[in-house]
Amino acid sequence: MPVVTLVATLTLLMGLPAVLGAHGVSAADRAFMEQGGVMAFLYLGAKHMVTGYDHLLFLFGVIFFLYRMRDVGIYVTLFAVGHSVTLLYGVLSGTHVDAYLVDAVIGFSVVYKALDNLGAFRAWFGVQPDTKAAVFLFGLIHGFGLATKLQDFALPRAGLAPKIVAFNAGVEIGQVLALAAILLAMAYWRRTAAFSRQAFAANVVVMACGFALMGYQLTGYFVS
Amino acid sequence: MSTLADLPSSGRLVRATLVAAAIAGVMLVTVILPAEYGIDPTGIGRATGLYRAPEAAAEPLPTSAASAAGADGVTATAGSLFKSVTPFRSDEMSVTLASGEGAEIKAQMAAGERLIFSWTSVGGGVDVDMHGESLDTSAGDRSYWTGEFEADGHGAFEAPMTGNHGWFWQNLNDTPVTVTVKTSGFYTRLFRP
Repeated sequence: MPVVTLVATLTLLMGLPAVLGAHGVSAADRAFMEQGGVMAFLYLGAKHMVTGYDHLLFLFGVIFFLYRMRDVGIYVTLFAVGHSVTLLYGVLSGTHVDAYLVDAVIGFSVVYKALDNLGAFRAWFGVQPDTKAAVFLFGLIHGFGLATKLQDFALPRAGLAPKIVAFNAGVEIGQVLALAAILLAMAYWRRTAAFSRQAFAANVVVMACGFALMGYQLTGYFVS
Repeated sequence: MSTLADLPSSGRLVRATLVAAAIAGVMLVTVILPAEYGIDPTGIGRATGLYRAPEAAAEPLPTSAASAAGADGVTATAGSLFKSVTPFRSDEMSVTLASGEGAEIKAQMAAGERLIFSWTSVGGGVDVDMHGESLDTSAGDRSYWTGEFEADGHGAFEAPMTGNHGWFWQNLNDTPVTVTVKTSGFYTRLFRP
């Protein structure tokens, strides 16, 4: 792999833990959420998505080879529907899933998508798994990840449903904002002659980030 | 769906995956684990300054009043005896919480000082977080005891650091509750922050 790619990977990975705190949402946001109203949940949902590198990496992988806006819309909708279902279900039903394990699976989803983009499943197993089904399935997993973040808070049972819906709406707003930025950058990148050469390396970098996320969360599971 | 123009071979993909895993492994061991969990098997984290001790190791809890003696004026003790230089006092405070509302009551205490406490909630259980923070609030707070839908809590407490230590209760019922806490011991004051 070229040196440039290696340097890019190192920079990306070093930045990872700095982007967010060790796990979840900051202490200040915590108080905001426990005392705040519907707007606070809307804002924090959007903030969680925009600063949530695990979701963004997956989204980046999903749209990597989607050139038509119609396809982008279909796949992103599948992802959004998937994570909305489990976010709402997880919080409202009080289903507790271990945050570290869910986040490790989210890391795996990033690795999966990178391998999928590289055509690895066709090369290794001779079959192309249904990409739409995979995005929906991992959407469900990402939703459980979002639910565990919300469940870290002492949420009042009274008026819970509108707040969860607001958080979810915030997540979708954040996703649209993040997606717009990613698509814009991708549009410029794809126009360059180097794109086809860099596409392979870029997906390897995404895969490395996915592996790092898995290791980060699994270690957290065992030491916590 | 479009994809790579010329699909890479199976062997190349295996190598790429191994390279990705290896990069992730190296970064985990040298950067992420030292910074996030204080796990630094190679020593590189310490060398680069990224090492951050785990929370428990960073602020060791004094195991007895004796270990906090000196600076805070608590006399060293032997065996099961605990001597205090802070005047003894007893307090009782109540707070009524509307549905969804939360409130704190805290005791200002020197490191190593102790109190006995008993709180009860009338009208329904409450979520509780017994916690404290040092006077330098930038250090954040530390949680001692949390519970959901608890009707009461009783015990003895020794302040791990000089600061404010107490309870955050939140009423998640649809109706109001009243929480009453009684404390006795060696602290400066009991107050609503």
